[in-house]
Amino acid sequence: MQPTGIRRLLVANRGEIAVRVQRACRELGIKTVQVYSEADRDSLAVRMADRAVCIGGPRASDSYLNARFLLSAAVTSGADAIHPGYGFLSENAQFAKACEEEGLTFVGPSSRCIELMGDKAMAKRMAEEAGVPTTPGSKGIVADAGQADDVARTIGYPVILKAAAGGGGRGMRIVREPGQLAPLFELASREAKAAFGDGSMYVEKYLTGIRHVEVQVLGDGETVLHFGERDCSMQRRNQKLVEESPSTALSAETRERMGDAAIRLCRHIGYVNAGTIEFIFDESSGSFYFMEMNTRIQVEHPVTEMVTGVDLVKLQLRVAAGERLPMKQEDIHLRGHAIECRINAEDAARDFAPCPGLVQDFAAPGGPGVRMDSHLFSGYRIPPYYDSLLAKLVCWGETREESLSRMRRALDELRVTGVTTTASFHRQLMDDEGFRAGVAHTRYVEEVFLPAQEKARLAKEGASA
Amino acid sequence: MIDKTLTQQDVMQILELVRSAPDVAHLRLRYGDFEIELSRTVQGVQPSEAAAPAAPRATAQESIPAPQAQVKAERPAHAQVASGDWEVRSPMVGTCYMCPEPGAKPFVSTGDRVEADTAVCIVEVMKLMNTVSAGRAGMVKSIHFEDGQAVEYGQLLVVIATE
Repeated sequence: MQPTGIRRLLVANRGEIAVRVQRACRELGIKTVQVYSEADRDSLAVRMADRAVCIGGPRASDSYLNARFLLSAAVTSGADAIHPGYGFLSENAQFAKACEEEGLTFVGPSSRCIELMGDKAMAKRMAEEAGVPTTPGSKGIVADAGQADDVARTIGYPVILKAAAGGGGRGMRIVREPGQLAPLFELASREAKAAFGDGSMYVEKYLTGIRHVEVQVLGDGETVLHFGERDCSMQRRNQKLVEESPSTALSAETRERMGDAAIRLCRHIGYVNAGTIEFIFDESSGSFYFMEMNTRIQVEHPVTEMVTGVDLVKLQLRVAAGERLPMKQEDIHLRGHAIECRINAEDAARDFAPCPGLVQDFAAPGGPGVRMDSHLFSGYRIPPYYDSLLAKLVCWGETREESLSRMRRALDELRVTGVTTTASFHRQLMDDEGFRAGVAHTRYVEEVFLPAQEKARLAKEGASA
Repeated sequence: MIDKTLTQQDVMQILELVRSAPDVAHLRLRYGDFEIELSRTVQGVQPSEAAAPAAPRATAQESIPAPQAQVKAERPAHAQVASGDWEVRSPMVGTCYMCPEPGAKPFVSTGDRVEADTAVCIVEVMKLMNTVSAGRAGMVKSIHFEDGQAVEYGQLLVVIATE
């Protein structure tokens, strides 16, 4: 056990990440206080903790999203630090600030950095200032369709028109030819005005066949290190399904340039603790562009832990306690290959409909190179109030082929009865020819894999009819 | 007719069957020396599970929370337990105080008569004071917290014998 400046930590999250944080605390001799909503009374995180405090009703807004209740639980339980996990309030600058004001150590970056990188336009500007390539496009808002057209001609079609105040895919239009721009601009702007009260638009190059490659970083106040990349291109509706490291598309040279860019950005904004910088990687040109920065530990952090041998959550805690990072950049190497499959309580056959319910029987796979991060146990009742992530199955191998083979074995061993999960979806994806060959882009699952699965299913039905 | 003893597994299966049948509001089963009674409540109140031994006659009682779609996300400031007793539970996580201010007389003491809107304590949450009222008219039967104690959401504070 290594003593740190943190004695008692409040876990301000739930599910598998709460279990993860508690495990790191236990190894560091830090006492744990687990908050929970009424719906999580019988959860693994509550059972594991040194102490558990009920903070509210089942709805997230009555519990995990309520900053006042979280702070109250921390103060009344004598905690001196809070780990926000991911999601919920982990990237809420006001919450981080409130922790700072209460004298609680927030395990993450400063509220200032959270605020800075939470504003997507500001984040892009920070990247530009740090000399990090950003997606070609307009410098801020364009005044009208004419200006949009000027930008589009400079960067080249196709382009995407985006609402500055936007989100959720609204106020966005892809423009493939110059003739379409003016009418689509008016449409998108009107839509944005109606949805967000602000019709301001900006223009970006529309890239297709792109990969989502992100870089893990950690700063301690003096030094910023990067821990390599994760390729997260296997997505559906902008939700990651599978992540792996290293990316099959990156050369050593590109990896180094990406890592350096990530560090430059962190240094520029004074970033401390763990974070991830997301890039768009255009395989055809070999170029990468800054997309956004996540100022928190991420769901897929185990992938990096498996290839680097580093415990990122323990490092988070140690840095938060005032320690310096115990390694140098030259000490960090990516060894072998790791893949993570996110096992959700969803039915892939019914458009990934959520399936909360009672897990009658749960058995985790094991053996060499197999890691299971989960809050499941036999008899656990999955509450319907939160996200559907049940487990992260992460497999490591000396080669990508070996990690794939272990993932197949592990998915076959995994047992979850009583609820439908995406384990069978992942099992099929692990057999997919394209995936096995290392093909990946952000539209692959939706445009290639799922249609092929559907075609095969219909063919089978037709054959047996 | 009775040629087998109910095992723990049988009981669990029965419980699970009832749990997954949303239109069953109440079930009473007697089987030889074993009796079990289940009732479904609408509030999202924490079920109090009692052991169900299969041997000498015993009654098991369990409140099953309603199918989750119907659970109301209201803070259970009050929950009825045994008939005649009304439990006042903390509506928030914070610090519970017995008196309106330090040095003053406590809001209530055991034996006091209270109305539904009588203040019984204060739960302070990050410097904000929240008055907790009795919720039912009656007599203060027992007080379950100490002045300045940290309390969690749903924690039992006061029991009131209702009239």
